[in-house]
Amino acid sequence: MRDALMKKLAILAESAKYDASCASSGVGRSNARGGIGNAARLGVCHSFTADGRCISLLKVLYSNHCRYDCAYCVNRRSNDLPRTAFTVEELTELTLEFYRRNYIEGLFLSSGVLVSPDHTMERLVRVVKNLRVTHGFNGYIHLKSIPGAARELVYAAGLYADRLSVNIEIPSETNLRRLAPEKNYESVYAPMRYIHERLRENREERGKFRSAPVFAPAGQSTQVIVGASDERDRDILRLSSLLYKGPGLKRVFYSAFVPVNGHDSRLPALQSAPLRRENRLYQADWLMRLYHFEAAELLDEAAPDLDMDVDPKLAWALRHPEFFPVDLNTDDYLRLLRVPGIGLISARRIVLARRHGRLEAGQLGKLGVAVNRAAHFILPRQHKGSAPFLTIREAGPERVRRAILSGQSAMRGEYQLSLPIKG
Amino acid sequence: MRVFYYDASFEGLLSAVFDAYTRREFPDALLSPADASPLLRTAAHTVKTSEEKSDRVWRALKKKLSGEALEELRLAWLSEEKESDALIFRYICKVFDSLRAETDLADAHVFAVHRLAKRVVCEKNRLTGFARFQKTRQGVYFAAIAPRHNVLPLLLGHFADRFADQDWIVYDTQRFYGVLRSRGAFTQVCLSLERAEALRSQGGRLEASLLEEGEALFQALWRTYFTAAAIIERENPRQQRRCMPARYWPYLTELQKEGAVVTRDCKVVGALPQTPQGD
Repeated sequence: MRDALMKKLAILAESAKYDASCASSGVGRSNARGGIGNAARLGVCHSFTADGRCISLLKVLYSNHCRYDCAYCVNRRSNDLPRTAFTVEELTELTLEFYRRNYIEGLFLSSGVLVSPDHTMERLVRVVKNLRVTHGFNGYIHLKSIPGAARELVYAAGLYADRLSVNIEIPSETNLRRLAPEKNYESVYAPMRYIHERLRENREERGKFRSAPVFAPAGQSTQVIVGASDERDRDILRLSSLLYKGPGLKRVFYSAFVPVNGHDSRLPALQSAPLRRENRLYQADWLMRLYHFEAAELLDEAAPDLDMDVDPKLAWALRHPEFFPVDLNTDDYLRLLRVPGIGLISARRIVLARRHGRLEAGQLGKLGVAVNRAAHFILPRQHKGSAPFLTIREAGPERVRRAILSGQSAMRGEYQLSLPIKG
Repeated sequence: MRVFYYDASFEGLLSAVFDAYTRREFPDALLSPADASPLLRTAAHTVKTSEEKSDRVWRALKKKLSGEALEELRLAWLSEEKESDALIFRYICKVFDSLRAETDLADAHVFAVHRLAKRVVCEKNRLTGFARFQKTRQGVYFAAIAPRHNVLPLLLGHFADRFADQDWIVYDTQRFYGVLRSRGAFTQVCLSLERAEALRSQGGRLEASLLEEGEALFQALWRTYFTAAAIIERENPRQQRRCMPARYWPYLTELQKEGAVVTRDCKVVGALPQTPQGD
């Protein structure tokens, strides 16, 4: 029994790990009387695997049997690998026992499509209902909504889960149809829209009646695979920004494509997973969600892909020298946020600290500003030793870029050194 | 050099502030009686800790500081860093002497307290995730931790809410004390020195004889899951260490080798979880 369960867990965790989401945040909930568990608003990371990703939730598939044959997926029908499935009881026990030992924050449950979408979705709902209702489990639950499942099942899932997600996987419909012949965008967007409507409706109801049932309080998220098809970064960011604005997604996750299935002419041959690109996309995503940047500002027709050498905020600043310098003593919070080297926290600190008197050049490091980076974009003028930093307006974007990339800084002194000697 | 001696408690520190203002003299160094006295001691005063004094100082602080800033003071105290008492002392003086000190982050002392508090919160947040419980025969869940700062008091509320239906102990092997939560009440727990040392050398693991039958299975399952969840193509040990510093590793079930703990020849004081010696 012991070995069988061990094997099952290994297989079903292996086949679930390519899903990038691990977040357990977005909902704060105290334990209920007689129950077990609560949810921390900011989420809790319980461990970090050898790839440096956090383990917050027990992320497994209910089953890795699948009737679909998607080119990018490790669990596709045509792959010859051991197939298995949990029972509802096994999964419930595993979740609770792990939770009681503080290994995990909750459960992230997804599944291959077993017999039909409804059949699969019904099993998933049974697991979460069992946890919530029978065992009084108040920890975090993230449930994958199986594309094509009946609305009643999706609704039931939302009553027990904190977050629902439907993965887009491939950022354009043409490519999705090419790589996953049995899927189309309608099968993804229909449940996404449905969840969005229920979320909105639920918010209104809860405004009127406090006792109304809560529907997926941590909202919905999705994932796109980066590098399995030929979309540019501009297309991906445009898609994300539409998803944040339209169906009001909480998060879009980006997953660098790992070629798991050997050679396939429909997929690019990659030396390694495009991790750098994934990272830049996440940075751009944060700029859109928290720093008030628009997708169109970050990338346009002239620059369809993110700069791999510098982060998207610095790249934007280098393209817009006319925006700078930003005066830390007088400019507003939103302008501060646009300075490379100043983050959400340091911007807030600057706003607090400057009430007590003028901020002087030497104080910024203490406030958490990355001074060598920010120095080219701000006033008061910064100094390194006695040499003053040049602002981007004085040094020009090209020089600032080179300076930051080489770990140096553009200083006033350099001009004098490079002057040709007369005579 | 003017020296204040105090009993190294938080109330003592607040009483020292009270004495400084009533005597109108401010110390250059705060020492506990156990410390060696400095060479150039010109004047010394021994602070008598009293609830009345510390209460008055705390009430005055409450008037001048936000709840958030008061909490930061408490956190900075729990950091147990060297010189943190002197820092808190100066910070409190600054609060009394100026109009609104707490947001003046460009000030060295204000910022230092802020940063110290942040480090403590950071470790507390880490341990809410990294503490690993083992289920004992008596049904009590036991976790040993070895934090740099004294964060155990900060963890209690979180675990009390989360594990409301189970009895548990969190034990700090660095500071030799633990807390038992049972039937809705907290009790302080002391272990014998031998046991505490044994726990420390075994990464907080209890001997198999103390553990419930299913415990080994779930630990093994967790190790299996931990290994299976990593994507080898993305291996990134630097990132792993950055997020989960190596000093926590000995206490993490998933990174411990499978197999029972060697029972050392140590005397068990009572059956561990049954008879916590409260104080």
